[in-house]
Amino acid sequence: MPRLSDSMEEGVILSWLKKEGEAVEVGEELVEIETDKASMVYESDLAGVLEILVGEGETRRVGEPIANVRPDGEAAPAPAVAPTVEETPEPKGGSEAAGTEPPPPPAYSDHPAAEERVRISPLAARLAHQKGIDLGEVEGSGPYGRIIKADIDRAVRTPGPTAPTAGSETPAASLSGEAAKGEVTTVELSRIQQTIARRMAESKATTPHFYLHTEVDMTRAIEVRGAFEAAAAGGAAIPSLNDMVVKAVALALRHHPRANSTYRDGRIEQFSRVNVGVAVAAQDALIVPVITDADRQDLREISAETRRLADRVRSGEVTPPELAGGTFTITNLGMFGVRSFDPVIHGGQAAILAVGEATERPAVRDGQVVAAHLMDLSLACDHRILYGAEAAEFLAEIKANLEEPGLLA
Amino acid sequence: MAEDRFDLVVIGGGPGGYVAAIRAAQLGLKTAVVEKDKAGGRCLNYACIPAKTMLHTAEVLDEARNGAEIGVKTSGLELDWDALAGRRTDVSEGLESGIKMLFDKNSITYIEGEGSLTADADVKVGDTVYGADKVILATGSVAQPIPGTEFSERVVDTWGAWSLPEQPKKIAVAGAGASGAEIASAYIRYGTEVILIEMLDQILPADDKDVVRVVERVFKKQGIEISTGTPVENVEPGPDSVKLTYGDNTAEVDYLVIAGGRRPDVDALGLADAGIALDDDTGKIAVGEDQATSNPKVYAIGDLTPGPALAHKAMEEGIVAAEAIGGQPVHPLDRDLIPAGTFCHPQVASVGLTEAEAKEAGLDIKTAKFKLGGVGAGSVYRDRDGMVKLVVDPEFGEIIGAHIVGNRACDMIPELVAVMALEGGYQELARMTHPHPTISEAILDAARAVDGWATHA
Repeated sequence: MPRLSDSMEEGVILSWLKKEGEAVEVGEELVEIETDKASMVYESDLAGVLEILVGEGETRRVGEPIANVRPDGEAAPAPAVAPTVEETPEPKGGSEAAGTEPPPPPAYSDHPAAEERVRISPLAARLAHQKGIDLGEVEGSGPYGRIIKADIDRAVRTPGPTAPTAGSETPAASLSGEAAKGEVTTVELSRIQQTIARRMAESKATTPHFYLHTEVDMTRAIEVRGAFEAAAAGGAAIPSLNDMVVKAVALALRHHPRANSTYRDGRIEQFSRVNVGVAVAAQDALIVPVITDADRQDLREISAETRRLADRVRSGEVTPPELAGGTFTITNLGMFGVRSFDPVIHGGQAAILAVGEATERPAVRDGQVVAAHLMDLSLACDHRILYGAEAAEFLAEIKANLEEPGLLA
Repeated sequence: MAEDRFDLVVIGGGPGGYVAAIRAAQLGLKTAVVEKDKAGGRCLNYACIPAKTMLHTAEVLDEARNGAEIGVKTSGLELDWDALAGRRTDVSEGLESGIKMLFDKNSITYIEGEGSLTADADVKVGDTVYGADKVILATGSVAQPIPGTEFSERVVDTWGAWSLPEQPKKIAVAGAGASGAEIASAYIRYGTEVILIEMLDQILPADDKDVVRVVERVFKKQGIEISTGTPVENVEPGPDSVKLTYGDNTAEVDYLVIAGGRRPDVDALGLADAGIALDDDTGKIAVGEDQATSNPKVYAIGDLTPGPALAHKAMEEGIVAAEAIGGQPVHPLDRDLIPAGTFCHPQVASVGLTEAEAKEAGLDIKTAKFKLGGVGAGSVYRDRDGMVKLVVDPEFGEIIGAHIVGNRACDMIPELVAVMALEGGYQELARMTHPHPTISEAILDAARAVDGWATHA
């Protein structure tokens, strides 16, 4: 299982793009893999004949074998997964195999997980055996997920998920509970949804959030957008209000390095680059592509980049590099008619800005009630990094940048 | 005034510093090394490397002297002191230029001069301040005289001992740790009279008793006068000799070698200004497992930090620090698996705990010993006195410590480091094919001896 992004720990084989026994060239698309961030096509870095070890839909940790690519004519090495295939593998010349019908599907999909080779140190294996630890429940922390002594020690101290957890109540209680709620449909989460679930729970549970709210007068920003519209030649990107928010935030981040940082091990790491992520709703997932160096791009560039990334997210083509390196996140539900909301901080960042709908509302100017386009901003901050006054100054600068949009272009 | 700016400036071009710099350069960092003396540092120019060069000559001389029994007759055999000194210099200079070549090859800027930290933890050399995103401190350690003495023409440190202007008739060595034992072992084979004095109750105080007993027997057979449990006192240097007492004895020797402790070479660094905290227990620079100090911009490695003052520890810490700075996942050094080697005759090498340390730690252990004379190669290579000793956990087979004494001990210990690092037990070791005829077969039989089935016992 190749590592396709920094944070990738395991991947799911979505589909093999080459068949068992087919000839593969270097650089040819081999397999589609779903990671915690996106699904990607992996290109072969070897040439030879493909021998698939892991079936579609199965998950493997990074570093575990998923296939052998044997150079032409070379004898089959002992496969990493013991095959229970009855027929002896026929010798497969590369060119010959390419032209012939693929062999019957191998029996890999029927393999019980227990037959997999376990990477474990001899000492850890002995400890596990004598202490009666089920290796299936132990996650290896050694190279390529090898189970080492420390992992068994940990498993001995904390009984694994085999033990009944709080979720599995006594049958009677769960029966009555289920009955009251009617029939239950269980929805399996995709890999990406599992990751989102874990990270969101972690963020909310471990990050002390506090929230600041403000209202921005977008009247002039809307005028500026109108000017762009009038000046745009056919097809040119017209910056949206959200693009202006991106730019306004990026400029403010430059003056507030604390808001452009992360909290790690009792220290604050401040980033020199301003990379603004923009949350995009994709099929049943929340994806945050990143506009790198947003403070140094002009509005048109930001607009074009945002559009390109959003398209790639929706078509599922976005790649991990396009999702990496964010230092701040903006989330916007204005298009759904949401006035204001309090978001969960993403990616260990110092803060996240929630943007509501810009609507015409009564505003007071010079003692007169007038109609103005007002937009709510809600800034969720990590209180370990940002304190109230500092966060307020940061939010005030964003507001000022949007109300004086001449500064943005 | 700020001149150049670097991603990383390493202060000290010794084994820790140069390895760290090369790793950082491999990771794409713009890197500089500041060195006040010679590339390769003390290890390469004044300690490990010259010591081993001197010891190699002692070994060849001794083999030749005892050559008759293996059919090598010699006459007029003599030690050419000047040629020996010349080769010692050549070896170090050759390696030093090799380090400089590696710096060039990796586009590392080499800055000659004494580096110190500014209050912003940039690096000042002379009047020039070099901006640095990160700094690695790698200035190593300096010899320390024992209380009541100071270094002079007749009272020398270990480098003084390896670079004496002529072959002395008689020396005393104060301190029988690795360096002291190596000096005594070399000089006795050159034909110099040697008194080896240790304040603690055994020579090689850090090593396992069974192993030390073998060394002590060979040392005495060679003619070294050993005195343990006796501090060196009343040191009186004269113009041509130095007088001293140890226990109830007095001696007058050409040179007194002080091979006692070393202390971190931090005087010039300006640690306090840069806000770098020291470790409460050891007084060395406190570091995390990524080698970062209390100032997150500054890392420290090697003899400056807690743990044994060994070149290979510094090298591996240099890798850890450089990778942490280069944004790689941190692979902290496994401090239980730092091997130690003493290159006296016979050599002593070890990894992990001694039998005494394991018992003190309250571990339930079993030990096994196997003499090198038991395997064929021991006789072929005149290496019968040595021994392999294993300290193991009898329940799970974990190897807790391994100790080897023999002519090739230091080249044999990495096998044990590998088995231990990969968490093999003695049971696996006992079934790994070892080439025949080699001294390493003694390791195989020692592993088998744990369960009482050594072949050649």
